[in-house]
Amino acid sequence: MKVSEILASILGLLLSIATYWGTLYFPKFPTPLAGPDFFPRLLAILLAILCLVLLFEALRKRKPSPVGSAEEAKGSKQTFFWRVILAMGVSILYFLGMRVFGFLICTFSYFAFLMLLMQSKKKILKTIIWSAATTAVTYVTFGMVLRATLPMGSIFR
Amino acid sequence: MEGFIHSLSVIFQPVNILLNIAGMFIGILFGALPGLTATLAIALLVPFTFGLPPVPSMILLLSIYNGGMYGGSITAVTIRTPGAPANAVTVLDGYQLALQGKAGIAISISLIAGTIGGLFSCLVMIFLSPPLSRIALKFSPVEYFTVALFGLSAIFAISGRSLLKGTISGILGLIISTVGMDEILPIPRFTMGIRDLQTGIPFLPAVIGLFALSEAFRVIEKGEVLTEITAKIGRILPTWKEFTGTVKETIRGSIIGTWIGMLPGAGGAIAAFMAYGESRRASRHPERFGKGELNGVASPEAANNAVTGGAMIPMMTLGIPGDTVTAVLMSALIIQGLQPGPFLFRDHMNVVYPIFSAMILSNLIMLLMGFALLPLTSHLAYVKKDVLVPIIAILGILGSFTISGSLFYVGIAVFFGILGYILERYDFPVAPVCLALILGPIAENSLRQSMIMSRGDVTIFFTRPISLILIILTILSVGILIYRQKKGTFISEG
Repeated sequence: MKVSEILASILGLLLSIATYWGTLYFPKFPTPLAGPDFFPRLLAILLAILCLVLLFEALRKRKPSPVGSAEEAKGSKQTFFWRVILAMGVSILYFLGMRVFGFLICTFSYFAFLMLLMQSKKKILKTIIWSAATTAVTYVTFGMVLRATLPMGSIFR
Repeated sequence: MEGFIHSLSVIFQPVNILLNIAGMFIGILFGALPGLTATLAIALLVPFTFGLPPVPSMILLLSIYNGGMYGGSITAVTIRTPGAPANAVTVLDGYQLALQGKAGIAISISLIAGTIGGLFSCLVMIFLSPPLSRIALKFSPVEYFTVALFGLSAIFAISGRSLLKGTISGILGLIISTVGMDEILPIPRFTMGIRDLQTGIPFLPAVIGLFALSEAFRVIEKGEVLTEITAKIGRILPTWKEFTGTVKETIRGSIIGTWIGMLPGAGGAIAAFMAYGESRRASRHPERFGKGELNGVASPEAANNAVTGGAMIPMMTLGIPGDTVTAVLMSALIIQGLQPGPFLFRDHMNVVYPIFSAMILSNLIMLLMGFALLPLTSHLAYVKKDVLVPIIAILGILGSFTISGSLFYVGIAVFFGILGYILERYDFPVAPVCLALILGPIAENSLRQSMIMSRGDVTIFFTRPISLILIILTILSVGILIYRQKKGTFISEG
């Protein structure tokens, strides 16, 4: 029994129910098979069927499959799941913070944070140099060459 | 013919040659770095091509595509780690050759065979595309729906280890593709009141998230990994006898690769495995395969490079991408205001011919650059990931921002990055999501238009010959894949 597959199938079932539910509010069309609700409704039903098959297969499994997921490989290979959670959180903060703190501060901090996250032995000077250089190069490339309007940050206005 | 000759004057412009060289360098680099692929490089580079006219932008992206296919063989030979699934079978004989001190020859043979394979598939593409596009001009929504359905059958081929999970990923992608304003009735669907979602999920930030950011998250999870090179490069140029001994299998691989490339979702890995199997079967000395046989490198490498031209045929003529790379290439053309499909051949031959010629030139540049960079590229596995990963993440995020200058696109990239990471962590492949995102709207709209045409009569799909043939082909290809997975002989692009 694989807990991850059971969870995935339940999430899939919930998504299919939500999709089907959403289609109930779409207006009716003279030709039912050509309406805006037909295709998503069909997909919701297919997803529900496949998720039920996945759920059934996961419940039927007595022992973990030999071709396992990363979850099962944990014993043989060291992974750093907490790092991913941090990286995801910081990526969201980078996206949200750009409007407030601007491109330069956010890009420098984001790059430095990811570099430090990757290093087993922290190399502060190398991190600062790479972060500053990358920020400068991306600023010139995106802001000057590609002429993208990079957010300068509301706190500096 | 006149148009083709004119295209040569376009591709030989200094800027275009420089773009070809730059793209080739990036392609070889990304192909050679394990875990990074040509798809990822193309997705990251598409935003940079906005400021370029259509032809130069396609020259850059196509040379990345070609370079990526070859680049993967370098680390397959030197450190027994294929840069991409398409180079997995090259490990068998390539690494054995490396252990014998012949890594340089193995990489050279892979380069020469790859160039021949690429050129062969380009010629097939040039001769086959125009007549195919003329047939496609007569297509109605009925035929388009069945072509899209045939394209969607690729989901099964790129499903990775589990067809069930791959199909779930594909359906998830199709559901996501329905978000946005309905194209027939002006009503928003699943937009949750977010105004930016009314135009639908933007494809490029989604692909950048699915491939670039999720890859960055995956590497962050694994930590800093450096691989030591144990193999000696040795002599680089093969002898005349060594070269001529591989010509026959190179041609065999080229034919198989071009054919497989045209099929939806089949891709480089399947082509390489098939070519290897056929070469071994046809060989007088099959026992030499797996022990350092040069034909064991030539045949699969010719095949995976030949896939490039083959895969371009359905994308250019029908507007239906057969795999993830061509889906991203197609989006790059759409952004330039060009809709791939039969009308591209009717209305924009000034773009089509230079693209064809650029692919030929790109293969020749690959040969020259491959030899020039061979001593350098064999050390690519030393590239430190603590610098590379943040660069990929920053390029992905800023690339998404550049597309529209909107932070909403950055949000989409981050969302799909997290989604892609979660999916792959639990063995749900992301490639089907990507393919479904681009094929979903084509399939839905043509299905609904067909239903309006026939007043809801579904038999319309079985009464038209092309549509019926495509339905039979779809059932056959899905049936074969399911059968092969049950038999345990399933090779996947995922």
